[in-house]
Amino acid sequence: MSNKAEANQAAAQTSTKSNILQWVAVVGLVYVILLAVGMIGSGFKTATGGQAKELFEFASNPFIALIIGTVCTALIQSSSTVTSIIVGLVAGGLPVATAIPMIMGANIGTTITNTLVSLGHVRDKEEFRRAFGAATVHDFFNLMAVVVFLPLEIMFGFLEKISAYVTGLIAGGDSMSMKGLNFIKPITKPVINTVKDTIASMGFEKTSVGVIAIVIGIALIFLAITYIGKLLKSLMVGRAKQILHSAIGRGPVSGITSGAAVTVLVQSSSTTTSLMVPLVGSGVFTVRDIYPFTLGANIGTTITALLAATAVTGENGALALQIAIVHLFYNTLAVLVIYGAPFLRNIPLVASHKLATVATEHKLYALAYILGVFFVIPGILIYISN
Amino acid sequence: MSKQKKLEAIEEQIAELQGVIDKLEKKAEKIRLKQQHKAIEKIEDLETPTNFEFGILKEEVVSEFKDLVDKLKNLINRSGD
Repeated sequence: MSNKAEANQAAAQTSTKSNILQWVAVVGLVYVILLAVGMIGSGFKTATGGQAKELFEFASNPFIALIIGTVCTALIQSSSTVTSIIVGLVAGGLPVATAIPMIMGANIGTTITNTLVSLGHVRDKEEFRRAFGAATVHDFFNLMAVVVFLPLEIMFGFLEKISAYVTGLIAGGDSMSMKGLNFIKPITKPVINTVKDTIASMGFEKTSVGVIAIVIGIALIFLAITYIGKLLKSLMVGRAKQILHSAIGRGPVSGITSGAAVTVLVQSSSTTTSLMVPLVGSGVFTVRDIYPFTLGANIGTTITALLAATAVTGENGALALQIAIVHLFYNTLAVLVIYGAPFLRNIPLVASHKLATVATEHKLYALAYILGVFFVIPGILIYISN
Repeated sequence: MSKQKKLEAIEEQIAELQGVIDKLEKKAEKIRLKQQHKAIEKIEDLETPTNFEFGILKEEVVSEFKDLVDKLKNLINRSGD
């Protein structure tokens, strides 16, 4: 065998080893997410002593809950993190009705990332117009979804009812016990109890033990999702490219499916939607081309909350699963209703095109839009509500 | 040539041109799809780009903001007169 072939073989072996190690790390990080969600739920229960509903009374106004979801997600730029935390909080007693607008808000907040990415094209006017349009079509779609579904949810609670029914079917009828998913408990509960016991042994009172457990849980979710994202981005680049290749020129259903698939692979809708911004900016793709792909990202991102829900067992396990199912149903229904109805489908395209045209001429409007939608308007609304 | 025949000849030419346009459109779509495949092949990683160009944005925004303030000042002065 020649030296070159030996070198190639050695390189391939190293690459395989590195890949295996990376996959082991991914599995480890998934375990950390499950642990962290369980810790938030358990900590929240300990901290509130079953009074979570009273504690979150301020968020019982759906608009406040919506804003909390939006601002938190915009600040940490990860809807997966926020929805996983919400799953943990629901497991700890946060009412599902309060959590639903928060999930809707997380959908709005997550769109800030690709809008910021589009600012990378500000040097070239035409490129910026296209990139900003590609980014904000996601914003307008998610804003529209809230405009359509939040009033319906407030009036009829349809997402809460449908998800409760489906959760009942999955989790086992009236008892709402998560017997089927109890295999997670033995691998997370001992660690969570050890952490809480260790905190308690330091002399902290019950409420503080709960609060510290929540803080540790949130920090762990944040770290695990960040690192899992980094690993999957490097591991999945080839697969993501294959999916994109297969979706080109095959219509909207294929676009939506591939957007969802890529998002599931990288566990981040921001990554998927941000990936498209430079492609539209360069003029190779149009906003209309990537629109279905962006919608697919909304559906794909719901996998994280579903995964997080498997961490929760016991009586609130079914509620945690319910809020994860709400996320899946809400994002899927939004695509079916808004993209499915021809008179609604084009509204995000037209709105993003108009905003991009104005923002290209006056960058002040671009900045005002970002600060306004994600921070100033939510801030004013919270101030007025208080 | 009678008017009718002229009209028929023009219609034939239009149909021919339409055929050429359709062929060109199909060709353009093929080229566009090829370019899209090429662009995807160029993707090296899935990292979110972070070159936000805040410097340029800040310059433009500050200058637009100054213009806006000047316009407002003028408006206030005029209404004062």
